[in-house]
Amino acid sequence: MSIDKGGEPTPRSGSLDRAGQSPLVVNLVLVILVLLLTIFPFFLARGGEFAGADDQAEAVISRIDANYRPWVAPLWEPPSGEVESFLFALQAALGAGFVGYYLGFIRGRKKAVANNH
Amino acid sequence: MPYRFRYLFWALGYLTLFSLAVPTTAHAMHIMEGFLPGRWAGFWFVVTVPFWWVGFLAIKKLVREKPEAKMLLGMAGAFAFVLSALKIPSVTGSCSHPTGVGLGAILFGPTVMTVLGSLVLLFQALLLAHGGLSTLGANTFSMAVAGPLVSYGLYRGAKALGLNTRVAVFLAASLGDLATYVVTSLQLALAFPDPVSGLGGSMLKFMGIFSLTQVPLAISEGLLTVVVFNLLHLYEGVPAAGANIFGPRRDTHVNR
Repeated sequence: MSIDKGGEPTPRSGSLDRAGQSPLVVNLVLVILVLLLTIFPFFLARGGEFAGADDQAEAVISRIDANYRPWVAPLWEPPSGEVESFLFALQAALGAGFVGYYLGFIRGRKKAVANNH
Repeated sequence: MPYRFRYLFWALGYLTLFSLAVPTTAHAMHIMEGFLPGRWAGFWFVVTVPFWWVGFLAIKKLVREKPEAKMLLGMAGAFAFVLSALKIPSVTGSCSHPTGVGLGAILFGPTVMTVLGSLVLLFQALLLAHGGLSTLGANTFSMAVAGPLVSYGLYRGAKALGLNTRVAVFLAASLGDLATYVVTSLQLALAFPDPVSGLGGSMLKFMGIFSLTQVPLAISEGLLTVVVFNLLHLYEGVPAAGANIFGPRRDTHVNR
């Protein structure tokens, strides 16, 4: 197949710009790096609370201006930590679901195009 | 082909599982509801409105001229949606989350992400009490105007310098993420200058909270953005060179 992409050479499946590295192997390495980056704070900041950074910002605000009171409250707050984590998980699942759907879709489309030739 | 599929499966499975496993303690990031005085909240709305407007026009034009781009547009939004939900532990012993807007900024330009990013912020403000409606203007400016602008500019700059595309994507996404939190610190410092050390001192205090926490997360965001970019490049043949990927494209299949 030849698809005009403004003069870009069509990448052959499984090969990167640089010869020899499969993008999927590169991706695996990158994902492992992300995992390591996520785990190492537990060792580096052992005993940390791992609370949200904006709660700390709240503390700084009250130190700078002790009289400041938030002038609006959220319309609705998740009634418990469980409900909150449910909603966060839902957000992530919806997003990841669509990302996965799209990547699967274009993968299948590419194969279908390739099979037609 | 089964091998390729396996890696893809792992990458996505990771994203999903990870999102479920993240410890959810308190909120993490963005300016909380009511925590900007009224005039500053208003100021950031005013500053943000033109970017919203340009973004709406850009999306309208894109959808009219390249209807086939709609799904990729949705995916750019979905990517920001997932990444903003991932509250990741950081070296400072606190948690924060990435923004995920760099990918879309590289693919579609910065203002398109202003619109998509503000939708993510709206969802979190309404359902999660994370960020807020009064601070929506300020949070949109930091996460969905400043961040994408930095990402887009860096990507174009890095490509102009002839850097490897993946390096360019990584730099754009990770530094765009950091820029968001630098701007958040600036917004808080402007509203709450330190009585002794002034704007600068206050800025340093807020930066101390957000920015150091954010460094490892920014790196993670850069890496995850490259992961998805690689897959797009592999399956869709997104021209790696151009930020404006919707130049001559799939419809030009004719010359088989």
